[in-house]
Amino acid sequence: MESVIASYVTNALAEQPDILAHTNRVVNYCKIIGKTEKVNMDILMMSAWLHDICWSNQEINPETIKTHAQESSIMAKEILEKINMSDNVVEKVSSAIASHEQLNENPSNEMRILFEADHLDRLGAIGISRIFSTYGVKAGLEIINKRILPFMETWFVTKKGFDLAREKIHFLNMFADNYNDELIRVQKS
Amino acid sequence: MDKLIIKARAITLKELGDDTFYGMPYAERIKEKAIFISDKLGAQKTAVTLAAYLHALSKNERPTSSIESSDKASIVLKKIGCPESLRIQIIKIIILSDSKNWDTSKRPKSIEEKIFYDAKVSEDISSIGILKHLMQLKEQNLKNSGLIDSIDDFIKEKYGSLFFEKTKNMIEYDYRLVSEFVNNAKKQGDVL
Repeated sequence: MESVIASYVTNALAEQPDILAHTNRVVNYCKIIGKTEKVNMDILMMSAWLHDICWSNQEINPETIKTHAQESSIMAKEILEKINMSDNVVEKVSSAIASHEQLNENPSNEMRILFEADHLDRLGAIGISRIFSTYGVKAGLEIINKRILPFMETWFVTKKGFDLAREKIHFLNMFADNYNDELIRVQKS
Repeated sequence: MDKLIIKARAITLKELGDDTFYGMPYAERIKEKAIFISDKLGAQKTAVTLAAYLHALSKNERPTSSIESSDKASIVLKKIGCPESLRIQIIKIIILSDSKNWDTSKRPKSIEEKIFYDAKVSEDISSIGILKHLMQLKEQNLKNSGLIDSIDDFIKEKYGSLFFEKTKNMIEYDYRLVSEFVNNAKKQGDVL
């Protein structure tokens, strides 16, 4: 089933190469972390492939959608229902996607791993590149300094997720320290 | 000469504003780097300081040509009563700070021209420079898949063009950091 979904997503996001590349990385992270945890791999893979599917809709307005996680969850549900997946699978996949931005209090392992995989891609050099090339310099600094640096170490609970994050967290800290020091030094002078 | 610098600085602040990346803080960063490199090299610090303040006058949230900036700088220098010989020297420093304006006969020759070029390249090879470069690449509609390769080429080319060992020593940490940025990104995936 994964290959059917993978093929669907690859076609649907063909016009959005950056999102597709991000999706591929999230799928790979999910595979790596999923192997070390008790999970339903089918649910996890379907969730990973479909977690950002809302961006395949070119008419979607990032300013007006409630959250892209919820929007993607709704679209994933429709896609899975069309290919006659069971209600149980549809529910689990759409719930995991809906919570990949913000976890519930008692997340399932699939929810947790998708969350960690998605958040791994916000770290390191790739994270920096994605954030600054998407949001611009000023908003990028704001996002990194206020929404990523203070929280990033709390995002990872699984051992493998934390192992994968460690080097990226270290690099992001070094990079942010460097530009923040430079900016503060010049402001003071 | 101090009066010239004070006047030029005031005009730059008014024209560029306080934008962290392209405004007065940017001009101050370039000035500081240029002054640091100048130390013990026997350069005329007034010329590099004025060039630092005036070289970005045409920048409006984004880089534009150094030719355009030099035209504006020339007008400002005349207005603030800069001696003709110094004005010509500064204009040349600004024009040659962009390697796109180099050809076989026109390359930085004086110590001030070389210092100022190195100061600007130092900004490029820094975390701030990488962020700015990312923005420019994005504005050129370059696909994300090509961003990291482009940054890699950019850093290597810029580092290789530096004139002074002193500059290389000054930016050693920054150079390692931005090189690590490229390595880190390549490790994470071939495409962004």
